[in-house]
Amino acid sequence: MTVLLPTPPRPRAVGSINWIGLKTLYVKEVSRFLKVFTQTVAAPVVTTLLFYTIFALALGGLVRDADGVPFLEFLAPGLIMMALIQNSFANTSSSMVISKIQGNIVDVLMPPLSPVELLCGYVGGGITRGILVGAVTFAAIRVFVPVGLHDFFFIAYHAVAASMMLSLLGIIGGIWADKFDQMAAVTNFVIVPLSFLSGTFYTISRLPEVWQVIAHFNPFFYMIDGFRYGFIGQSDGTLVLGLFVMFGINLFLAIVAWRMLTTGYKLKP
Amino acid sequence: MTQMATRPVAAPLPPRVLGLVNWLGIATVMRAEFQVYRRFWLMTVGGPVLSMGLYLLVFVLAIGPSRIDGAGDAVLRFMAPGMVMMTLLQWASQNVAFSVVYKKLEGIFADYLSVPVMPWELVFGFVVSSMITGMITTLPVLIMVMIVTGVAFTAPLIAVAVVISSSAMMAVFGFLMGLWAKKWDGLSAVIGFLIVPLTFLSGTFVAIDRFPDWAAAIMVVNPIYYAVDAFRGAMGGPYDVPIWVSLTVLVGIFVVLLAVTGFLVGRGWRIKS
Repeated sequence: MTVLLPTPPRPRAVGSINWIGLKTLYVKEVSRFLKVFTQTVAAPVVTTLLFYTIFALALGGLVRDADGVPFLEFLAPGLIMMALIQNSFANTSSSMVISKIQGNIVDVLMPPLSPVELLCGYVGGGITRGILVGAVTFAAIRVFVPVGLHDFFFIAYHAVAASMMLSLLGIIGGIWADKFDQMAAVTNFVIVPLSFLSGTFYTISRLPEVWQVIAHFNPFFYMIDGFRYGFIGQSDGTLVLGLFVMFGINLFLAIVAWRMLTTGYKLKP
Repeated sequence: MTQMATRPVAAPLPPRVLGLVNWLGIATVMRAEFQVYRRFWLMTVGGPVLSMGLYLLVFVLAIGPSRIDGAGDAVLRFMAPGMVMMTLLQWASQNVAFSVVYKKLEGIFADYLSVPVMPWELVFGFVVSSMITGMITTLPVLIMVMIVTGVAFTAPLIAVAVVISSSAMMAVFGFLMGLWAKKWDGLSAVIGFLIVPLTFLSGTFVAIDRFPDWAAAIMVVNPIYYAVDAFRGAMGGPYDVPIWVSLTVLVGIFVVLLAVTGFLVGRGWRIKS
């Protein structure tokens, strides 16, 4: 008697890029933060608006303009950028640290995903959250203050480049950190100071000359400066240089993160 | 006849007699809290100093040249007491809230319920340790702010009264938040949508008369506003509300919250299944 067996499924041939895997990782990363969107999108937007209100009210009478631009219009792009980068960083770093501590990082490392695909999936999630928070904040501010659009290319370029840079930093930090408090230390002692002191709240021309030079070595300065140019049409630094700096830093960080994923540093025993 | 060696047996411990107050229990509850605080000193002491330092620096830089003519200085001196209070109240409420949620999620809270500690002793231990750790966190911030802006206490006793009553109020509130929250999500929602807006809309950085009417209306029912206002008065700044009114509000809210919390802990609300 012959039993008719169904033909066994053929091994899936993965092309040069595992599109299904990449899409699955990306969707997982996005639904991870959307599931708790009150914490990951609404709360940052509320906090940023509060910051904006307080700065506007506290300094509105005192600081009328920064380099000829009304202070409120000067401040808005900086705050949007700050919300954007902090959330990109939070997304990838928390995802990494939580999976590592809970041990479900193996579920991401086991499937046939190459380091490049892993990197793209995680970074894609971080960029999505950063830009979503930035866009909602912009829309909310736009209701109260007529923030103009001067050059859309610079806005889009720096929004993507900045959120990508912070997502990569989040991956690197998340792989390095063994515990939550180490991750919190990186956020508090590196990310927040660099973003505060990058010219979000004041023009660099206000600083003493030595500090102006130092400020030019802060990569966060270029993203905020270029992003702000996209809105108000004025900048402190050289715009073209800013484009290259952001590109270079992203390339460098991507290589570092890629090496970490390839060698399995702190990920694989 | 065999003789059994008689071994002296230690007399059993007499049951411990607890007086009216289980002081040892309260001290132990507090000691556990201080240990956690000390272990994470970089986060609990270093973090707040750094972030307040950044606020100060950014304000100084944003105000810029107008500092010379005195108007900028006035703004900074106005903000200084507010920043101190903001740190104190945030930390006095967060220390205890995080601790309670952590203990609930990890199942450690059962250890607190199975020892002979009365509900009010438990609340007392948590609240007082959170007040003290909040004050320790605030001290370096206070010193930094006083050096940078040059403000000083003009009424130290009032300042002490405000610090104690407002941190007590916020610590009890933190305990209540911790009890209420079933998960970390719940706690961060209360902090993000209630505590942070209330601290920002409390006259910390800006005087009430510069706010639009609707915001001013919120501020008047915001307890943190009274804490900041009275503390600013004690540091020689302008204040809107008579200080005895502010102190009464703070103490009154503290008593009400304490009664509610004590009652809920006694009932085992969200801690006993």
